[in-house]
Amino acid sequence: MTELTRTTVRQRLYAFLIAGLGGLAASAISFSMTLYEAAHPPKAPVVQAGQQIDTGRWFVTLRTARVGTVPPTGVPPSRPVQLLMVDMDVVNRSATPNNVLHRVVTLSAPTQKLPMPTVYLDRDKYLAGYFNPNMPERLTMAWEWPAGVPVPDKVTITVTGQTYKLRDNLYGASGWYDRDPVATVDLPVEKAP
Amino acid sequence: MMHMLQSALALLFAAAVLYGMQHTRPLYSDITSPIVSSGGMNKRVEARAFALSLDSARVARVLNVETFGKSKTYTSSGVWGVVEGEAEAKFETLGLTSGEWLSRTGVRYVLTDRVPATIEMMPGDVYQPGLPRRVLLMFEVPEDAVAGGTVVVARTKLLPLDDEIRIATNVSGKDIEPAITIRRNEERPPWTVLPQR
Repeated sequence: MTELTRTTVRQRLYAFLIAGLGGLAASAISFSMTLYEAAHPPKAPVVQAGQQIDTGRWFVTLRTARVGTVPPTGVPPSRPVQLLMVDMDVVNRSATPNNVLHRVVTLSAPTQKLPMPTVYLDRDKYLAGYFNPNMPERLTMAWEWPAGVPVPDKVTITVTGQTYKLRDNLYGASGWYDRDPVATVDLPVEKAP
Repeated sequence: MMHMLQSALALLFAAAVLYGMQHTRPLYSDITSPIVSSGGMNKRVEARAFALSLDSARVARVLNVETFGKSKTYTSSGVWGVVEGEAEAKFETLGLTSGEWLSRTGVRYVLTDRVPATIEMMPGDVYQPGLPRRVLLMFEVPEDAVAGGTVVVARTKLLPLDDEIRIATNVSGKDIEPAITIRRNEERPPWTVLPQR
């Protein structure tokens, strides 16, 4: 049996100081790293149109962009609007149906924030609902373009990744969470007569 | 020396116990999972609040829907599952708003939302105690999710620890019909599945 040694006040003070300073340094480093990362977001690779993008939850293949006044249903809206329509193929790779694609595919609008896009299922030429797992579908996403703003010749679409967490930090429940952009795609805008 | 060894062993043991607990704790979805009653086709399966029996499960490549003289064809990258049966509330009037096709690999497919509401599917009805009512469920699933599929019905998807009925279908995934037509009727039952079999 070793004899228990009593620490002196000075030793304890040093221990407290070292632990406190270490903790302080750790939080300062972690905070500044977070700040730095937020200020310098990683550059998402530029992907060609027609190339499949893996977002984690979805496979997204952006095809074409066009501007028009008639949505894919063929019925023009009662109040004339300009619609920026983007055609794409998607596959839901998760285990449950989902329809929250507007968070995955976003339009980097040149001026202001656009309202939420409407999604049309090409198969039905009608509003799309859920996208079932492992069932590839072609769809058209239509953004209402603000009146008085000229439509550019080229739009940039940002595709955001999502990651699966088996247990989240709050409940321990599983779910999909939005992550950093995984790709940007430049699409030329076809102008319908 | 002995004392130190004992402490080290105790520490290791505690770490092992904590590690084991961390890796065997149930998922949140398991803790709050519904209370399941299971059964097969052509059998009345009882849950606490309602009962369900399924008598027909058919699979087709194309779904035709005829309502009010209009016909529309619904294609799919997979196949259409059309399931019919009878549901009955037991003690109070209720709705059955959640229907899912659970594939053998555990992937879920919800009731299709492509078919118009003029065809009354299970969520559109109200179930009264003592008055059994015909139910229609339609799913759009990939071909490899057909065989061994299970129909899962619950009052709602939002209530944890509520009743859920699971009925294993008897479809093999081999006898896929080229097309099925769902026609709206003006009298009971409110739909007809064609061709009749």
